[in-house]
Amino acid sequence: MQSRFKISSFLFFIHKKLYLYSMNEGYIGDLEEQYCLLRTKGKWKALHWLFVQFARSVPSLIFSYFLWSLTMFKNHVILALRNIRKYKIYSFVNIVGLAVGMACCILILLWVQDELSYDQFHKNGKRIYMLTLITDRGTWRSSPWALVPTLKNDFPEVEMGSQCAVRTVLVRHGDRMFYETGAMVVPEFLKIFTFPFKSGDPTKALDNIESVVITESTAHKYFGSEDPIGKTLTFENSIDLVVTGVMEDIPSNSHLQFALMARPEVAFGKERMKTWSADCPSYILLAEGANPTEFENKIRDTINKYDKRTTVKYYVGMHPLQKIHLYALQGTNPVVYVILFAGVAVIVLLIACINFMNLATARSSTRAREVGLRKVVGAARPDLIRQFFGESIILSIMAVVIGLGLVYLYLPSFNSMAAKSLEFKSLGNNTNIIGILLMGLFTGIIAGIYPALILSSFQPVKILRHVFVKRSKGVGLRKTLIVFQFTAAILLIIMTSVLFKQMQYIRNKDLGFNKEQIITVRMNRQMRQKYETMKPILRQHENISHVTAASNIPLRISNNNPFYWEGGSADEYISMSFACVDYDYFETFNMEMVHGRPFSKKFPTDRGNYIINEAALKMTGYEDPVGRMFSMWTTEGEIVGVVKDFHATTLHNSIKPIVFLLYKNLPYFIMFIKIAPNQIGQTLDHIENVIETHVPGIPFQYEFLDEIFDRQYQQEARLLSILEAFAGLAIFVSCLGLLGLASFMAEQKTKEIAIRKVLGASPATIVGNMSKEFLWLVLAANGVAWPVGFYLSRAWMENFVFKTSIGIWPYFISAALAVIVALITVSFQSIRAAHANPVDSMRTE
Amino acid sequence: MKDLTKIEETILLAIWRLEDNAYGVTIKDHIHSSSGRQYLYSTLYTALEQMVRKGLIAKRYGDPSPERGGKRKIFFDITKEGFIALESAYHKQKSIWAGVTEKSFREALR
Repeated sequence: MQSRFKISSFLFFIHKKLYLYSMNEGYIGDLEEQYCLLRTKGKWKALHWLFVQFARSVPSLIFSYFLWSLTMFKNHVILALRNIRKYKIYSFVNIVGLAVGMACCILILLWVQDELSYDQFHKNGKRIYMLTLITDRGTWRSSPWALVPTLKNDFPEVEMGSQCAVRTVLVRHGDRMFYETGAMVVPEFLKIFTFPFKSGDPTKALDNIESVVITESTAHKYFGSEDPIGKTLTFENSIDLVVTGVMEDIPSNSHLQFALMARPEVAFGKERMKTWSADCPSYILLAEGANPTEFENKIRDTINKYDKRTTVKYYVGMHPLQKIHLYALQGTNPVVYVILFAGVAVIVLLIACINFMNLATARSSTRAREVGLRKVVGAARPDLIRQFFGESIILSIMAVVIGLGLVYLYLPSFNSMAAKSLEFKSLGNNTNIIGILLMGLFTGIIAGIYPALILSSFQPVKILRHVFVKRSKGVGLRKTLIVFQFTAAILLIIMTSVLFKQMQYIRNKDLGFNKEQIITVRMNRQMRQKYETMKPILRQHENISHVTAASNIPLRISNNNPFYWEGGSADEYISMSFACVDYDYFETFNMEMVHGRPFSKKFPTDRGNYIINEAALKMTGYEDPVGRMFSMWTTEGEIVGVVKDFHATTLHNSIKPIVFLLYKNLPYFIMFIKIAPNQIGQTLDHIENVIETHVPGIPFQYEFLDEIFDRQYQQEARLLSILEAFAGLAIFVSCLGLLGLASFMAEQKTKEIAIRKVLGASPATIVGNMSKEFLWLVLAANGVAWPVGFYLSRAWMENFVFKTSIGIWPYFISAALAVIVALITVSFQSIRAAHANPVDSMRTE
Repeated sequence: MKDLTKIEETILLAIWRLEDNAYGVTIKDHIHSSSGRQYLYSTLYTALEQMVRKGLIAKRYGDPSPERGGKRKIFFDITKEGFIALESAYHKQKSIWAGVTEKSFREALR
């Protein structure tokens, strides 16, 4: 009885598809028979029964495909290995491709894990917040010294608080003297944050102002294997501090990094710590149960309430500790990169699986005979399915092993590329091991589905008669995949070229001042005192042309203060950046003066005067600035000159207004020496001698200004190397995919090629024919990649206020590269196909 | 030689009982009526397939019929190996359950 109901025929159809054994006929027939019997009792009863049969059988049928009875297991393994040996090259390429994909995935996941783990080790982590300063010019990490004690006083919600000033300090013990990174904190800091101690008591270690806590490695550096507790370290050659504790080295996933902890009174003085100057970040521990958003609102106006030095409004904000690493206060959040990379990892793995699938089915006509024979000798389809799954799982496991090996080998280079210190053994924890095993199993199964189902469906009769079924369905899908892969690869190449171009532009751009041949020497307290004495002596050397000093490097001027100027009312102020500079500053850097003159000793009143840059001039609106009144806080003076705009920060930012003062608000921290390009070694020795004579016992540390400049673009440089690596990988993976597709098509067309040859086509024409098809694919990939690349590069360039034009070259270069690589890959297959003997191809009839 | 699984044993007994008329539907019904167990067709056929491969039973094709949508029936007969396996299962069973009667249970459950 033919069922007239659509539902029942559908269910029968599914059953037919699920049950792949040879007794299909009996099985489905029995179902139909019983169904007919039940139909007489009622249509719905019968349907219900049929549906129940279906629902309950599905799991067991699927399971029986994977059922490995012990005897069969050994057999499958042997078959799988034999197959791998038979098609060595293909298996090798396949495994390596999959391994590379897995290695990428693992590396990226390690990176993501590390990024997400920052600052997680503090016990009170969830209640720790960094106080932020919100001004009209942006949000900053530094907040006033007096803020923490004020908040503790006024608000019970603040359980504890501490400032944390990280500075480079000169440390000496005996004859060992180095610059170290030190954190100046009040004792409560150790109760807020959890830094494990190896010896000493965290709750009391910094009670005494003249104590210092050092890390293990620092202890080793200065004291060797002796116990450092109770010994002294000399700070800045002036103060002796007693070591009261040794803490474990700080792990790399902490945003706070330092080698020692001391009290701020030592470096800044008790008086400064009572002021409202903002020198460093502060952290507070919120009481249990306090609501952070409410509290943030409460404290918002604290500064304005207490600091009456100016009418400028500064607001207080809070930033949770565990968001510090991934969420910046302004600009892009690094967490975007984390999500991006996680997504990339998944995509890479997926593409690797798909390539695996394609390559596995690529030589299906060769395997077809094997399958046909097997079936004739009595293999049922589920057995073949199991066999092919077994093969792909075994290949997958081998790929996992090789992938792990690749990770082990390349982890160091990845670490240097990503500026991280990831460890191979962090793969050892349970989550990761399970994850990797699952990944191996998952790829094995997913990648194995397609070949298992397709290859096992061959009908022996058709194969042994060599009537090869043309599977035209698969081709469209494969072509789309190839296009997709190539699009990704071309996109990466485009981004790499764009990035490269921008880096070139940055390196060659005229900054508005001369950064070549200038040495920067950091000055500590003693050096500062001797600066005036050293300056004329240094200048006498023939290779030294200029010596000057300033509070910061010209590349990094960003301190802010409000400024008033003539013509503005008492309330009108502008917050501007400023720098304290010495005489000869502008001459040393070849900065051009647009109006007026640089500071000069001829004018003693210059001590209280200002020089501004063009951007600042624009703000004041003066037409004739020289001689006009200008003031910072309450210090009035006049404008002595206007300097031509130069880049005082990275090219990411526009040129902001800057004010230069001669001396007094901040000491000169850095000395600049311009030297001649020849005999640099000699000149450096001379400088070292001079410093040594006047400030004995200080290690001579210097840096070239252009090195510092390059360092500012570290993030971009890193991004460039990562992009390059990924672009290379993407090309490799795409080629694998193309190889699979090319072999597949070569197979399909053996007859066609043979006929063409017989009719007189030369190998060249044939190769040309085949290549043409793939060329279209690559061109299509370009078509997609170009607009996306354009959009992405434009978006990335938004980061920079100063940028180069992208031009058309990156696009053409990547297209050309893709085409060449594709042609080479395809040629392997097409050349072989073109040289095939037509007799062999046609003989099979 | 391995022991028969429970379902194999049940099926063999059913086929034996049904003599020449043992195919999917009848086997299922017989098992249901004699032991109360309801098996799905998929379970039965998976087991039947295995048993054919193990050589315990043999299959033969019957005539097609309209109720079955034109498909043939597949009949099963026990082979010699099948009977041997069944016999050994019977003996094992007998020796394990030796001496147990209704009375033993009544006493145990008191």
